[in-house]
Amino acid sequence: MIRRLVTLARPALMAVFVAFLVHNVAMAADTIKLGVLAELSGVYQSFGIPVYNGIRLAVKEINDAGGVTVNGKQYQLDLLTTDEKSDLREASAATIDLVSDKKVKYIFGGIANLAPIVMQITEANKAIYFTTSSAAAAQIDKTKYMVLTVPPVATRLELSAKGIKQIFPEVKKIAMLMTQDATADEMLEPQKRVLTSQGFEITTTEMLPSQGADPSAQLTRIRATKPDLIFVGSGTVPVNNTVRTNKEIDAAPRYFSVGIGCTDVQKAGLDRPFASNTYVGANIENPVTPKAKDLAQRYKAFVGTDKLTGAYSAIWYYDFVHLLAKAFEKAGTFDDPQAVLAAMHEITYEGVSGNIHLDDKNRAVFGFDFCEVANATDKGDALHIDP
Amino acid sequence: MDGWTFLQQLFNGLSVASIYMLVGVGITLVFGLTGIVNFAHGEIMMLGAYALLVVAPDGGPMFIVGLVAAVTFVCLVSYAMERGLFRFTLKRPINGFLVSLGLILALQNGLIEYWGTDQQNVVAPFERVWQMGGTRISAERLFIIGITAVIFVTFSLFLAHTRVGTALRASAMDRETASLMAVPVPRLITLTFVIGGALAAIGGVLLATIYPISPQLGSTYVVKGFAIALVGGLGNVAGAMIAALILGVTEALNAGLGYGAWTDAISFALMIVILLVRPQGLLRGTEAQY
Repeated sequence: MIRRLVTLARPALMAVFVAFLVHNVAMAADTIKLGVLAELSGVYQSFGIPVYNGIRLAVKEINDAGGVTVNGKQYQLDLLTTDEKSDLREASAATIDLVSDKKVKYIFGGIANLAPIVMQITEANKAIYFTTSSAAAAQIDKTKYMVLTVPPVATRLELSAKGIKQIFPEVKKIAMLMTQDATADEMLEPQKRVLTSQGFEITTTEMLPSQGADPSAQLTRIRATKPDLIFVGSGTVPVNNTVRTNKEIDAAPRYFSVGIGCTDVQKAGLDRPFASNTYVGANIENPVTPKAKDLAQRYKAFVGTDKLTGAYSAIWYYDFVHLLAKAFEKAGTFDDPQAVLAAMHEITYEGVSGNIHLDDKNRAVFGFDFCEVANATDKGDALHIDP
Repeated sequence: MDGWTFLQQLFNGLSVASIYMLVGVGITLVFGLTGIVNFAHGEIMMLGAYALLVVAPDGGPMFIVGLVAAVTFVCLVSYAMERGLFRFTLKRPINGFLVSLGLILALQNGLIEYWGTDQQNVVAPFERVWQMGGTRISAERLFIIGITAVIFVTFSLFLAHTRVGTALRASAMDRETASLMAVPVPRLITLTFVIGGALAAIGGVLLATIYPISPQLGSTYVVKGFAIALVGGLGNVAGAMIAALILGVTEALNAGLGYGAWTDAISFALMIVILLVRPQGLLRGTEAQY
């Protein structure tokens, strides 16, 4: 009896199995793979986690809206993610896995000094690599497939100078306080030239040997030059240490920095005005534009939090996932990164960070949001400045 | 550098040297008696800082309560670490070193799990600043220098003039002979870990009054703490104190002369020169008296 039942059921079971196989193969065939190198642990996780969430949100929105339509057929975006633990070796291994083994042609992530190693692998494999890294940006002339998702250095520096003029019109003399790192190496001299060309006097330049170094000596030297403002190099640690120590030294009456959220600095006991630009697009922590406010709400709902503190890096690649999706549709392909890149150049994408286009070196061009607070408890102001 | 800037740098350097002293002496004490290189000392220091953050984040009179709570908490942790881990490594101190590396990860990630990697801020207990010509003297840094001086004068008197202090010095010189003379060496080892922890906790608390704190901050101070212990003569408390002063003041004066970017390089180059000239350290290590 049982043997008879099994014999009768066998064709039906086979049919179900074949249908399952066909469905999965079809599913794989109807997806476009995107790779993410995420710093979900390690020293960069405070940037990496919001970055990853921003990319995931963008992918979800595209997929929920029906995905990407290429040559009349709809495709879903499939995100392949690796936590490279803010580690060079892990980032290298993860990139090889994504690009060489899994044949992913579009990679996001890899922060700061991790990016150059990723770039070498993606370039060799003709994969498009989206990054914000200054260390990688320094090598943009040697690449064909790397897309820098922050504006060119010249644009960023001009925006910073414009921001200082608009927010602190009384400032004439600026002291520079930088930390020795790749960003300072790339940005310091050009930033000083741009500030000088905009009419500011640079009273002195002081360097901190590392992110956590005691800035009291440097602030003492700055004080002797009587500046109106200290331009503190990027990094929450040196900015907070400076804010804290300057309460004793009183080297200058106000601060400006780049890539730092104002709320982060307020927590260090800020006692005088501070302003910053987001460095990489819209300010999600203190959104000013309707699009930024809307994204902030969607981000909170997606991540399941009511706080946006530290989330400013969520915007780093958000618009670029959408831009990439549009480029697939325009190019009519996702198998040819060169064609996709060419399509990206033809698009001016109206993103949360404003109008975004790529220049001839694959660098994104868009305006910045700025935040400004008077002290530790001030709610502050925010504004958007275009290049 | 004019006179006022020199005085400012000297004052700032002494305050940083005080924290280095608290870390370096703790490291040298433990090594002197046990031969164990405890790299988790920086994280123990951060435990003290975070204990202050929990008990007295807003400064004021609660700071004293926070200080006592931090020292008590870290002493208990140090006691547990010695009894539960390090005492099993006394016969092979290299194992103690390896244990300390694991403790770094455990303690750091424990702090990150609860507070995240972002910096946290503790309001300083004193926010007064006095202007003396071109020099600004902050009450916080004056307090740091003062309390460190009091601690080390007291500690030096304890080592020199008490039975327990004498027993500690004897054990550091020769553990075996001291135990034959009925000195309770295992208890003194526990006491050394607790004293080292207390000093680190005070260092962490004082650090939190001048800088924002983060779980990774201890790693910077433990590297300098070891340099100080080496240069001072491993196991020599007075040597560690002198080395801490040299490092702290050198760093401040370097930066005051405009060599801010070179501070760490110049300071460690100086340490290397000292060790080349005197490989045993400024004052001799554990084979000599404290």
